[in-house]
Amino acid sequence: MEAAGAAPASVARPMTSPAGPAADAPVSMAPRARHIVIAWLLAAAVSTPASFMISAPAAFSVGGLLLVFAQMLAHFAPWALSTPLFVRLSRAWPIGVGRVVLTLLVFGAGALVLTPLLSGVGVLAGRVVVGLARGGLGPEAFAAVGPAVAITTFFALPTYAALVGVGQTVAFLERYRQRERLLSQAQVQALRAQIAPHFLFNALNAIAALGYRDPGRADQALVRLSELLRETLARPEHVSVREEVSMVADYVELHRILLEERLVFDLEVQASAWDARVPAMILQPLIENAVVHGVSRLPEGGAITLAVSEDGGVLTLAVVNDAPAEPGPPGKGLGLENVRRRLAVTYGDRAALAFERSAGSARAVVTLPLESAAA
Amino acid sequence: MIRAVVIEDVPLARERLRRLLQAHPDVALVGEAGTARAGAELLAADRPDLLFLDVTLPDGEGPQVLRALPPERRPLTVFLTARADHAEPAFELEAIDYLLKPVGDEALARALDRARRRLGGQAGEPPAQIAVRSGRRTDFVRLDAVDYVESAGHYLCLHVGRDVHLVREPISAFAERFGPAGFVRCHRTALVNIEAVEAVVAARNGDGEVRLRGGAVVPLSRTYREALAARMAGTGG
Repeated sequence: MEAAGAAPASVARPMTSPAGPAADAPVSMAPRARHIVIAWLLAAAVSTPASFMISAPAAFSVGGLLLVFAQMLAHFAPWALSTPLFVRLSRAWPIGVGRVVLTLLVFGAGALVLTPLLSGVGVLAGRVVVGLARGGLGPEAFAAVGPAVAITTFFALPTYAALVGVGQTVAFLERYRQRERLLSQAQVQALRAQIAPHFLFNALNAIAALGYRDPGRADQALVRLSELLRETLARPEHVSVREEVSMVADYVELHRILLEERLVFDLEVQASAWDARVPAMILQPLIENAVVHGVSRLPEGGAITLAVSEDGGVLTLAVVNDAPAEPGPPGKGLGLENVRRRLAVTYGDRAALAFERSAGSARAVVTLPLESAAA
Repeated sequence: MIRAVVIEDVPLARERLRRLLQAHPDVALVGEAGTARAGAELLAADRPDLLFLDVTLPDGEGPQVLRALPPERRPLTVFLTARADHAEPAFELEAIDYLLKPVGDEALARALDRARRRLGGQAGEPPAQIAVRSGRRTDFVRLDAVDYVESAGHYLCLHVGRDVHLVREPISAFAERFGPAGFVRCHRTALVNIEAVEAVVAARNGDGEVRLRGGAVVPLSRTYREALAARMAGTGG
């Protein structure tokens, strides 16, 4: 019965935290106070009819029923107040991650101490409620309170077990979320690590050849490449569109030097999109694709357009480039696949990469949820 | 003539700087040193106008060489460093700039521009046009044709009508260089050409926007509103 109240607290938590470095911060999925209150109100309501019948009144009355309900509330109040304690206890003593015997001992001892304690306080509180309702807290209000506490304690053992279950479930979900988050961060890092050496070695290869032909241009290319490398090394997991565009501009400039300037780069950024947040280096593989499979295969060169816009909570990054009418040998598609996987790891199905080719041009469009880089 | 010295331990790096400086006939490299000690001796014997100082030297840190001098004897200093995060101490010592290695010719030109201005007006009038380099081609964009400038990280977008030119220059350097030519900050990330301003529209929270004759709209933050208004009033009267 309590589990029903605890579960809703876990929904609607984003999979990734907005701040990258907080990935190893503990995840809290503890039930909120209002959920605890609702769960125990339900528990009190559910147990009211039975208690009413056990108390065997001479005749049914709404007032009598309400009094029993109030008594039940008093009964459960100590349990409700101690619910967060069960979550904390379960975090400290999770079941199923070693220390089995010790953990069972802890919860066994907890049962022996907490069940009588909470039941006792509950029964006394219930008697006070009933006593007050009937006009006095005289000795008759507390008649046979000892056996009542004993009986209630035995009936409350399943309640104790259920609360431990709720606490353990919360603790388990928290560990699970935490692991999921660390895993997705590790995946993102691994995927990004694939990109950097790839373009680094390609560029170094081209510059080595250029050095014989045109030392001045090789010099320029190396300056640009070292700037790119510096940025790549310093990058956090997410950057603003502004930073990503500047990285892309460096990358394009490097290719322009290597391609003997047969490359026109057009930039169209909606003013309100400059400070949106994107995964760092998400555009670089798309631009690389546009250069390697597109513009560099055109003898007369061509253009790459990067358009960034936002609308209705969606950020759209489009890379459009000129390409040969005949598609070349299919690449391994590592770049696009990498982008797709990084989007999936970070945003689930809230982000997508669409790629289409037509005669003479290619178009890659990334859509992802609009978030501010300033936050 | 600006008399410059370089303290840098890698001989090829000194050679590179010497070559890059050939493009600037008003700068003469009058001394070189490869260690902190030799550098200190060089600075004790001579009083150059400008110092290129490597942050890490084999026998010490570059900033130490500078700190050993009394402040009035310190030349204008440009730090050379491989890592951007090493640039912090440079600014504590009031360096005029820092250059990341390998040094690019545009960055060097910017640092020298600053040095010229500090050394007293030799820089003269700000140029009427700005060089936009792409590959081997350099376009010259007339400054009065630029409507506004937007920061794209360490690039700038120069908006000329419907065209956008990318220039590798931080917005702060552009503001310093072309502020006198009529470019005014209206936002942390944007400067407008006051000649192009058609209207300034304030929002209730103090921020707002600047509307330009070409139809573009540039964000205006309250931090810069008064300065912009003052400049606009200046052009009116």
